[in-house]
Amino acid sequence: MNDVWRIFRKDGLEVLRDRRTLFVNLVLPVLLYPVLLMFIVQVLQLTQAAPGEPQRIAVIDGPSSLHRLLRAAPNPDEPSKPVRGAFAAPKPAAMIITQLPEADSRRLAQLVSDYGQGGPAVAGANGSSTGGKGTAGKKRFDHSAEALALLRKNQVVAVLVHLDLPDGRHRLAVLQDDANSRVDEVQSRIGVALEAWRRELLIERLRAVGLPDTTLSPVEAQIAPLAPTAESVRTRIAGIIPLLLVLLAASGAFYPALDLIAGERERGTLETLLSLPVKRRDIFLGKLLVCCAGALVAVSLNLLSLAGSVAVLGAQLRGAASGVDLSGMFSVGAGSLALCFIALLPLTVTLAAVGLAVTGLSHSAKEAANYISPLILVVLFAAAVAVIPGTRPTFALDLVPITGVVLALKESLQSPTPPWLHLGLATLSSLALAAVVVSWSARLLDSERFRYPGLVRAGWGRFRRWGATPASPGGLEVLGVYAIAVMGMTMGAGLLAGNSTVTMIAVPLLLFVLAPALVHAWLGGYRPAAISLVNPGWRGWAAGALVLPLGIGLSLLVGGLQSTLVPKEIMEQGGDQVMEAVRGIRAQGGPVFGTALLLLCVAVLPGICEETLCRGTLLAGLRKGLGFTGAALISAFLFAALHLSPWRFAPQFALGVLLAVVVWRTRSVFPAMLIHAGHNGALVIAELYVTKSEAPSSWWIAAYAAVAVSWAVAAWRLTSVTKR
Amino acid sequence: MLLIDGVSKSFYDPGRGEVRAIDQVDLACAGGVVALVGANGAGKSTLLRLIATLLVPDSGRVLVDGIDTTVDPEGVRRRLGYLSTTTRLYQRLTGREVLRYVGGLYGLDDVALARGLDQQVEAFGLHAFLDQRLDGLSTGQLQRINLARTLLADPPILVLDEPTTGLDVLAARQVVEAVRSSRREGRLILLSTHVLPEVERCADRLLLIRDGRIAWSGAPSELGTGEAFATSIHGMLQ
Repeated sequence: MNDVWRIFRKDGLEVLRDRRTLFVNLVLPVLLYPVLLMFIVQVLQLTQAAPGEPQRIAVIDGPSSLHRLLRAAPNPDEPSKPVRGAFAAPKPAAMIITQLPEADSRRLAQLVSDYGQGGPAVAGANGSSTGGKGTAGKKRFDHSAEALALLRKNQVVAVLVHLDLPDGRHRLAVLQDDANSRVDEVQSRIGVALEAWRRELLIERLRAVGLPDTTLSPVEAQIAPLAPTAESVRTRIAGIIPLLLVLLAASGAFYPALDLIAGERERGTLETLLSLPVKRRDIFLGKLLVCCAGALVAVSLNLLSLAGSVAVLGAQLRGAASGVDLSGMFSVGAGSLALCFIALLPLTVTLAAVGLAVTGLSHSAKEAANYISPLILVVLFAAAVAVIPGTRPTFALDLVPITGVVLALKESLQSPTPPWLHLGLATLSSLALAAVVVSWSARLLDSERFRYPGLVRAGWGRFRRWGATPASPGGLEVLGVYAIAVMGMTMGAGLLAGNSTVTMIAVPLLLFVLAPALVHAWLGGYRPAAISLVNPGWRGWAAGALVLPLGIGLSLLVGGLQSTLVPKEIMEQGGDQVMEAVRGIRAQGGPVFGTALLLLCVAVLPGICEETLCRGTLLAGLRKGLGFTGAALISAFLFAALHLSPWRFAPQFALGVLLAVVVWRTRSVFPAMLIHAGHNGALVIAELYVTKSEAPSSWWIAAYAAVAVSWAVAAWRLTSVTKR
Repeated sequence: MLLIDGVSKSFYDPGRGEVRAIDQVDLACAGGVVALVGANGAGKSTLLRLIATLLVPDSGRVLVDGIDTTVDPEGVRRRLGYLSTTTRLYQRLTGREVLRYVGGLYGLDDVALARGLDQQVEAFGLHAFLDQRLDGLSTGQLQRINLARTLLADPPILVLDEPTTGLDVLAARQVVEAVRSSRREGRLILLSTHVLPEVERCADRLLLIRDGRIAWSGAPSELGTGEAFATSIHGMLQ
């Protein structure tokens, strides 16, 4: 640790002495907030102070009451109270009702009349129509071009054409120029006027039959907003804060990363450091600490600057909001902020490690700089879901890097009680990812390719020779393959929606799980043995058969334990979905063929495809960097996450660890395939054919456990004979 | 003591395919100055980088004081001082900060570090600019600090890859003096250079490197002196 600390101190000192970089990356953004906010306020001020242009509309054959209401109609978007302070805005722009030339009026009336009854209440310039209350119709307005030309010739935004219907009702066609920049204001005002007119007419008719005006309002509802405006605004913008934090953390981590390996290599100081008696892992960790510290300083300074700027400009913001106090809008409380920092910490570490690795793999600092923008884009898109209204955390999303944390933070800023389960799961998932990424990237400096990318980089040439070195895949490669599998499974499920259940299960497994694993092995020139695709011999097969009862028992045990911890509704929902699919497959082919098809889809195919990816490719690649225990745990975690189901996560994780041990002992993935297929098949058959009227007795369970464990021990001893 | 046993190292070159930079090299050295001479791309730097654990051999072994470079690379580096044309120093630090940092990474305690620092300051005359930031120093001053950095922890083996490249006459002379002084102190010095007078002046043993192999090995005096020495070497390298 001493060396890590020394490297951190030295690199930190260098960064602090690089005044220009420091100014551009830390000080400038901090100074920019007040300047930019002041600019926005000034622009708002100038915009509001500018006299509004009158909005011109025309009414053809309209009654005088409609004219009166149109003139009086306020814009619902404008503040009702007078504006004070810095934003002493002028009166809202007037809406002028102009008179069209007689010929134009007649022609427009004729067009609307030709259009016939049941036509649109509002016709846009593009011919689209919107049905209004009581006059809704789907018919297309075919004279858009001519009507629009007349509107533009007379410089009006909209024309209201009134027609009396024979049954005493009124018909009103609103022809509007949708391309006019003021159309929204005009539409709002016309809407207000029409609502008032409708109400006046109704009251008039009610009075005619001797009913009071209150008949129109049988229910009087009142909404009393209790929370301070600042708080409710903050809830609505809660997604922006985690998005901002993640982006600041990413840019704060990526820019030092750019300099600390690629830059140092270019300046020749990396070779000096690598020639000193210090572990390469410690060098990486020291630099990682600098990136994390840089990210946290950037986040803190930016937040402080933002909060300070808002506080200073609070008075003007109050003015902008017509006396509404928004001064606490960005104050989220120390507790919530601390929560954000804690949840973001593993994410920051991951981003810093990715930044160091990606920039370090590039040939030059210039090339490394090119990778920063795509990296930030990835982070931006993954985090931007938080600002989409209505997005909420789910158990599946909690496992998605960046998105899970951001959604959980958004939820915790919005609701009075933080969503502890989502926060915990998202943070744990981030921690697991950080552990994988850091442990993988910390070994990068051990690789010559990382130290001298231009000198020893083999390029695609190594793919020309089947079976050429390296003998087994690397960690980054296999994680990339896994990412492709997850993306394929997620998107493939959407694309195949509506097809038969067999297609929806089999195609993604073959295309997105098995194919990426095999194509990766082929492209990388890895021998089948490198991903454990070798015949294990009779001992291996026998071991697979012997471990099968333990696999089934372990899965049932963990599933049972899980059901006591996780809310019942979630469990049953997940189980119902799976069983519904299973029954659907059996129903497709009848009792014999259907059952065979079912076993093929839910047992044989998952066994082959998932084992090739998870215990073949993933385990081999991760094992290189993490050792067997780490690789077994991480591959089991990824295997469980691949199923995108919280219901099946824990049992699959336990099974994944067991299968990894089987692969380790037998040096082949085939026994694991046998166990996986047997496990799935047994559980599904049991679910379909075994009655659940009574639970198995304790004696039966004890006997099963004894058999399963003793067989597993026998398998262990059997495989220990195998030459390792 | 350095032992190189059947070491090979290949690179992939997009234009030429697989290039054997070092091809089955065997070498044993106990002390003195061993000069490596060869054309550009002959494999001198690769061989020195293999010794310094910056590269890993494809086959064969490199043992430094009996320690395999692939088994305990930190242990090997603790016994080495490595200086090449591409090992630079941190421009935003002062000479003193660089030396303290390097000493710390060599595991020197405060007393040993202070002693080593004083010795190097004295040996290379660093007093005048030791506390100046390196971005304000001349190339010669920088190389003196770099040499001081290499010798700070008193390593028994020095690996110097073209240490006089780009230096003026005075600075180059100082480097050669440092090499001779290190030899007197009993170190093994591996010196790669293109400057033949340097070899004549301080090398105990000469290795001519051609196409990744040791083409000739022996005492420089065996090849004559002055013009004859240069002509012999040119002849053997062509």
